[in-house]
Amino acid sequence: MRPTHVRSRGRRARTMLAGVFTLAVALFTAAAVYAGLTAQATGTEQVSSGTLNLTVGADAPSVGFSNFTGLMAPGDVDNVAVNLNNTGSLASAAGMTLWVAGSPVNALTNGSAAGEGLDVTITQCSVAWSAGGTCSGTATSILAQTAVSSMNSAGTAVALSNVPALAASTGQVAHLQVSLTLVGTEASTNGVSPSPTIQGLTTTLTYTFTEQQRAPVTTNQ
Amino acid sequence: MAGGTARTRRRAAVGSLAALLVLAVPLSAAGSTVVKGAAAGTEDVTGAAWGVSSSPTSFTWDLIGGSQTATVANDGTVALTQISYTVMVSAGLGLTTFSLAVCSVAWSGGLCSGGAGTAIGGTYGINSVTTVASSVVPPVGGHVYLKATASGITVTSITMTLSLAVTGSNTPASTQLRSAVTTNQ
Repeated sequence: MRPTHVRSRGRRARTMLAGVFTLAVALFTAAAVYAGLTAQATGTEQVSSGTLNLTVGADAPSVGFSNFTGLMAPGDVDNVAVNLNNTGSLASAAGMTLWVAGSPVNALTNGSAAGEGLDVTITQCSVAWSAGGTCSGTATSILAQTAVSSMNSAGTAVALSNVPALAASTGQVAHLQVSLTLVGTEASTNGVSPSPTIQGLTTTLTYTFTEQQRAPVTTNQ
Repeated sequence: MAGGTARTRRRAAVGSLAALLVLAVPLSAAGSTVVKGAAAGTEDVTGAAWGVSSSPTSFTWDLIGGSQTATVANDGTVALTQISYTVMVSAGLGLTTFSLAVCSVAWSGGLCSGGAGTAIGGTYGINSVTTVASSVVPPVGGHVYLKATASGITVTSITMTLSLAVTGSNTPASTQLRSAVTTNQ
């Protein structure tokens, strides 16, 4: 004969098992009743997202950004004309930015030779730039002469001004003249240039123009 | 028992915080998303170099005057319009003046194509330092030729030392390079 406390534990277990079984049966029944009462209604809505695309290409007859084969001396200017085209389906907001990275990084672009290096100036023309670098329409300053060393990273990108053609609707083209000039005063003595120097250096400049989408729109229809 | 309860509370708190973060991150991201479009173009650029050197850079006279020559080379990659010469004549004794002349071809028999060449500055006295400029310049990769002359008698050994400099600048008045060029391409 088992002790009293063992018999009591057995009774409790049987009672709990019976309770769980009863609850399961009840839930199954309720679910069946609920499923029988479900109703559905559907509606469809088509949504398309816009695109924000910006392209940069040569503004003929200019060759656009390319390899400038000349050797730049202080004061020299290299002008190229490029088209900045909003080819997406979304308009852009005002506030386009530009940064110019040099690779390799050297005194032409990083400011290591104080007050020296490459400077960029950008002017927009209402029509395409001529082969001689003149604007027969209306010229507007987009970027005053700015040292590359002050905008050589995404974090130091500078804001471009007066870009209405790109801030408006899609498909707009901005005709930009990008002027690159070398700034500096250096004396070489007995054939030796100072250190650091802007002389004899080569770099590849990458101009990155960035636009932002127009302000978000709330539509009630 | 109390320790177990504390652990349970801590776990619950951590779980709640994690749940909040999971919910908050997408909401925050959705709220700050701004679509940007970017376009980039590249351009290769090389800077010119400028400089000249003389070989030799010094001339010494002992007792007797006379002429000595040197060759000046354009070591740079850009055309020059001018070279600055700093002429240093050492201290010493003598009844002598010194002069410097340049020729675009090598001196022959003391003459520059049969002539006297182009004077660089005037005359230089003993124990003096003078800076002068000359517009007779070597082409890129080329040479011009100097002749240093001591006229008179030196009692002690006297040396003339030259320092040649070329300044490039975007300020037109300061540059000794060719005029700035604007290229439209």
